Amino acid sequence: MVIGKKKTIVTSDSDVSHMFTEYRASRAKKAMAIILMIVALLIASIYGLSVGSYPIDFVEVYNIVIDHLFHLDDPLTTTDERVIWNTRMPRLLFAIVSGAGLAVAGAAMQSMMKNPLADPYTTGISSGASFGAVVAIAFGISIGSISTGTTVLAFFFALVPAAVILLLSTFKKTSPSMMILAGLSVMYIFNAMTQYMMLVVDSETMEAAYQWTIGTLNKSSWSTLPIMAIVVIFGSLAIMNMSKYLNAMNSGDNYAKTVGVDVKRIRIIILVLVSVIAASIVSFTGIIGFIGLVSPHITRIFLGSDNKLLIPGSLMVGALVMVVCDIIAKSFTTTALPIGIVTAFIGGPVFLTLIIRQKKEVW
Amino acid sequence: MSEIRIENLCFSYDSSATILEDINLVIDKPELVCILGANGAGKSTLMHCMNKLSIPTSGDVYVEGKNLKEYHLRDLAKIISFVPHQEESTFSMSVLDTVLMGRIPHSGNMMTSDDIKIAAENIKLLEMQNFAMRNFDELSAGQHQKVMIARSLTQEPKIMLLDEPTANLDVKYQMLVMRMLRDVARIKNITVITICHDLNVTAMYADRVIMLYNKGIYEDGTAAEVLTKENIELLYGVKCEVMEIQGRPHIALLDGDELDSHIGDNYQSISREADVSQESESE
Repeated sequence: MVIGKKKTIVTSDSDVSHMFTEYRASRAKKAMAIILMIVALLIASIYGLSVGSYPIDFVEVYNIVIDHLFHLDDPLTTTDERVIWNTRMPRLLFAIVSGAGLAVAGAAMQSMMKNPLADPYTTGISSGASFGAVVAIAFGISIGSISTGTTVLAFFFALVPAAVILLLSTFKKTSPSMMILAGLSVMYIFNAMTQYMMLVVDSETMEAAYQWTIGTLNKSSWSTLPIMAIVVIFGSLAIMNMSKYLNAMNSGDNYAKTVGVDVKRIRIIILVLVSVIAASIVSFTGIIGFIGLVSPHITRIFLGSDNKLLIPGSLMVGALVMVVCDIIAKSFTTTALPIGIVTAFIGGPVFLTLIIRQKKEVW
Repeated sequence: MSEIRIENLCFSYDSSATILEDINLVIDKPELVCILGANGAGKSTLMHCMNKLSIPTSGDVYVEGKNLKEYHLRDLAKIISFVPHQEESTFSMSVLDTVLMGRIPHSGNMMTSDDIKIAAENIKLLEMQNFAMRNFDELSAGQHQKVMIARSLTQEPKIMLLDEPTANLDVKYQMLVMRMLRDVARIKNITVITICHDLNVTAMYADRVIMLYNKGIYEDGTAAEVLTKENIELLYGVKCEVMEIQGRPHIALLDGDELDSHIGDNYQSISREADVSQESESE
């Protein structure tokens, strides 16, 4: 274009089509990266099924899985088949679903809060869940069983911080800082109550409560998997559906409004979705740290910050990281380490490396 | 027709802090309109009242004949675009992805080929085609402004609002951006309303100048009508001379004692010492 006195547009079609082609190629490359992540997840999953106190050959695992997938009604005849389908497969799927859900929730929270340190627990979900679990364990609250009672109470109390923020939003602007500060306040209250309860209960209850707070996949089962999977799948799809709004909100609330985004409404919907996803995971697995924080940052290295790619990419990375951490957890001891310890042990150094490698001064 | 009509608009943050009082204004031509005023005069507030970022305490704003209160944000976004003072993104995207955000009011969840082409055309229009795949945070301040203007044009608005688009830019880029805005208004037949602080750049390119003073519109007209010695001295409290160059007013600001009333005693004594030492050096 020649700007100024001539006031004529000399658009070069070749420049526009070059940008178009370059953009399409870049998107195709990023789509390919997501496909590679799926392949890596499949390989890690098959390998993960072969790892455990009862060793099964990698090829044997592959054959059993493929064979059983095509003949679902066939009874499990061998020990290998029973170990894989009754014990390791639900554990693997728990790892995939919980890793994917925490990573999607983390990516959504970071974009919504415009804060690279945000994760699914930023609004105090984990402290609420811990309190719920400790109450259930201390008072022996049973809904069918003690374990179900613990899960239900953990889920219920994990949603309390979100409810408090929603209540505040009726008369206060729902800014990211308000949400973080309200979450912190609720977290301190729950932590104080949890610590008090830990002081007054007997040592056996205290140990059980403490063990619950360390995230673990040891309680994985086919019966509870569908509940968590349905919440994570629908929650993640709903968040992906809002990715363009998250992109606009990354440029500031005022800008987002001027492209038609109802910022307050979207922020509340995202908060509710993230809370429900994180609460459903935490109530079954306990607190698994770092996955929700680190996975979106790892994904940004490969796919950039466009939420349309970042959220599905984080989903894959979260699932992959969780499966790899579970392999490590199962590899070092005869009884698998709680995965919460492994994710924190690996996530800490990984996050430090990301900070050092990062060119920007944002985080 | 792209028209903004403001009737009896008042805005205050609370009863004691009135920012704007009884504003009446019609902007209905595809031209470059500059809003001038001292700091705190209510320029940004007036602009924010035009696109629902701020809600007037009383009075009405009409866009294309319809009261702003009746607009959904998404419908309004198809008519009015906004370029903020500066980009606030935490997680930087590529230039093309950033510009594509302008298609949000028009598109579904996925960007179509047409959306990408419109964004690419506007990037080309702003001569940023060599940076299309670069990360936004790798660009200079001037390039940031160009990208934000391209994003705003990608929204295909009938009215563009810009909050100080020339802030942080050097003289050349200030002129370039303002000339670009004037030409965009003419070529694309849209109304461009911008807040500006540089009087000479405003005088050079603005088709219409609106001067805010004392909570209201003090003067409204062409640059030659509005940018007079008396108006500038009243508005900003500084001495100046106005001359005509290339058929447009040119403002020369003059240093003077009237600035003393705006600065503290400590600074005034330092300033006087500096004057004395300069005089003795020259002797």
